[in-house]
Amino acid sequence: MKISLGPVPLNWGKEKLLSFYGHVADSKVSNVYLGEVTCPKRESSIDDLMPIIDMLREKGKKVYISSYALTFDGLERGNIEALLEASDGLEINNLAFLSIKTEKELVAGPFLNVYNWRAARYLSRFGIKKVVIPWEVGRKSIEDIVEKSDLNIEVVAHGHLPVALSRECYTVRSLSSLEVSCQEAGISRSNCDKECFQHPEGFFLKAISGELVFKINGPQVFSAKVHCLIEHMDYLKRLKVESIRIESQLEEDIDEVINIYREVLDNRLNEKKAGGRLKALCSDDLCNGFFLGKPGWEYQ
Amino acid sequence: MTKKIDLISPAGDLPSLKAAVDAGADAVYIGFRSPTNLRNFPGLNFSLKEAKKGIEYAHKRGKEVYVTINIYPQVDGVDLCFKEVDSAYSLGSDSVILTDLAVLEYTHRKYPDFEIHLSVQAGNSNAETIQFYKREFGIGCVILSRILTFEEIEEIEKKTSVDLEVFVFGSLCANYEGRCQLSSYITGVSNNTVGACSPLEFVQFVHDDNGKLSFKLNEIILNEYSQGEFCTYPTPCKGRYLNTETDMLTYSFQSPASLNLLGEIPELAAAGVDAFKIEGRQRSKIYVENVTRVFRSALDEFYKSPELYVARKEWLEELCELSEGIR
Repeated sequence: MKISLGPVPLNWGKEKLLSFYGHVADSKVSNVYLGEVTCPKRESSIDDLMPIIDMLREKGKKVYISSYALTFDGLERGNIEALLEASDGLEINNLAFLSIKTEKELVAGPFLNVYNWRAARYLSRFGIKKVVIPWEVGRKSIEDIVEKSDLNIEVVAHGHLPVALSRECYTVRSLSSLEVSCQEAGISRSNCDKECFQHPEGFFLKAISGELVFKINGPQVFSAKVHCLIEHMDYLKRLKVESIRIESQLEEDIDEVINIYREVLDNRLNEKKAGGRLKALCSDDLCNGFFLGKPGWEYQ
Repeated sequence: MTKKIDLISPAGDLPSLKAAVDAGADAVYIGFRSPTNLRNFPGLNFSLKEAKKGIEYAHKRGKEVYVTINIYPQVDGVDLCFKEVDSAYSLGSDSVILTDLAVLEYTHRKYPDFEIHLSVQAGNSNAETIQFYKREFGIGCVILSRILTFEEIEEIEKKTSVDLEVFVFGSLCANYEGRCQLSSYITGVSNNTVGACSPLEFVQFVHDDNGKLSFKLNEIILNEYSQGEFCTYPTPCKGRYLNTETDMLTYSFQSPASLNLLGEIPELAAAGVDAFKIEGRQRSKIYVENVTRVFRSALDEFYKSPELYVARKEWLEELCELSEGIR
């Protein structure tokens, strides 16, 4: 089973991205998804990304370009086509990007909402070879999709989960204490002040009852807890899941997270011990409820 | 102006369906009593027998009925969705409102003459995606994402060859439709999985001695209200949270406002919208009847003299009383 690294969802900027992918290049990851999924305002330039793509491919990594999840007319296609030329494949997160003509490998990203094997099989008509299962889909359904779809399946195994996406920028809303929508306040993607640039890691929301529930990242909402399937690696391996995905969220320790997963997959570390090491690395609590068909934030 | 805008009303039960038809809806959308459609709440929705009666009632009066089957079914739900499509077809409903690729494929292959509407849950925000569904499944109508501007709707109208339906009244979702798991993160179930966001069995309303009311969702307090303060149903996107950055307790995603586009009928008509949809299959018969009647009157008045149209004060007041928030 291979390890993939999801696209960076946070607004890190050039320096941090370079340092992050420097760690990644020397890590034991096989596939790297690169590109902007969350907000077009944050898109890195071709000049910033090309050297990263080259570096990763030189180290033997397969590089996929990820599309936006939410897109409008006048298609904000950004730099996708140019980046795709230099890469190995395209992760489609909105059906609009299915119309891009390419010979490269196509992947159905998690935002295409493949919840059953028939939906996966349907997408294979368009040349899709791999499907990333949305995190909300439970174990029983993942099993069914792997067995019946005849496609390569990737399961999201580690990271804060993007549990909602909006056109509204929740960072702007929070910082300006807006009680109206961005649109009503006259703020749009074309004139926003990029307030999320001041908060590249996002920030937490606490319920009145005290629990950390969500984490705000621009127009995206993360789970406050870190989804972690380390204790189910053996199960996913036996299931013949092609790859697991680790979300690109820890800048410094990403290679250590990858190492832990690799060691477990290679039977060099037991799942329980690995869980302990991951817990120590992440400052936030772990959860795995979605996978077990329970509330997403539970951990069992 | 070639074709008039259709008015599509919600109905959670047979009396509401009848009320909607009588109040001037051109079509009513319903759901069966199963975890296959949004608004899968206890005591709501139609048995096959009730649906049959409802369809007969509407057809006799020249009106249509659409059946909603718009969850994203997992392994245990796919066959049930197929079965509900079979039922909708055999009962003679005029269309099905779908979102999942497997259900769309099944319906289009088995019933090529059955009209399909693309549910808002598919997240319909651009023309290319809509044309994909048109090519693949022959959809006749798309319910547009609620996050679009008039200009964007106009652009989609130019680039697509399907009818465009927009929500004009009711509860709002703050997030991109079909990609929100806030409810299942807290409760384990969501619109996508069972057709219910924050289902009642996870909701608790707790009064304290000072008249303060707390709304809990699976033990988490989503909101607290002082006496007399306006309350909304506790979905996670309408909760108040303490922002750890600003240390302020605010509506982090959405204020408790609801949608009302009564005043924007001319703009929507100019953008090329074909149908107006009223949200609220979970609401009462009175709500359905009154909102339908107001929009019927407004549409009729608009078509009498489009350039003179303004939303009347009494209409707006009536809608305000019926809406789930301030607007």
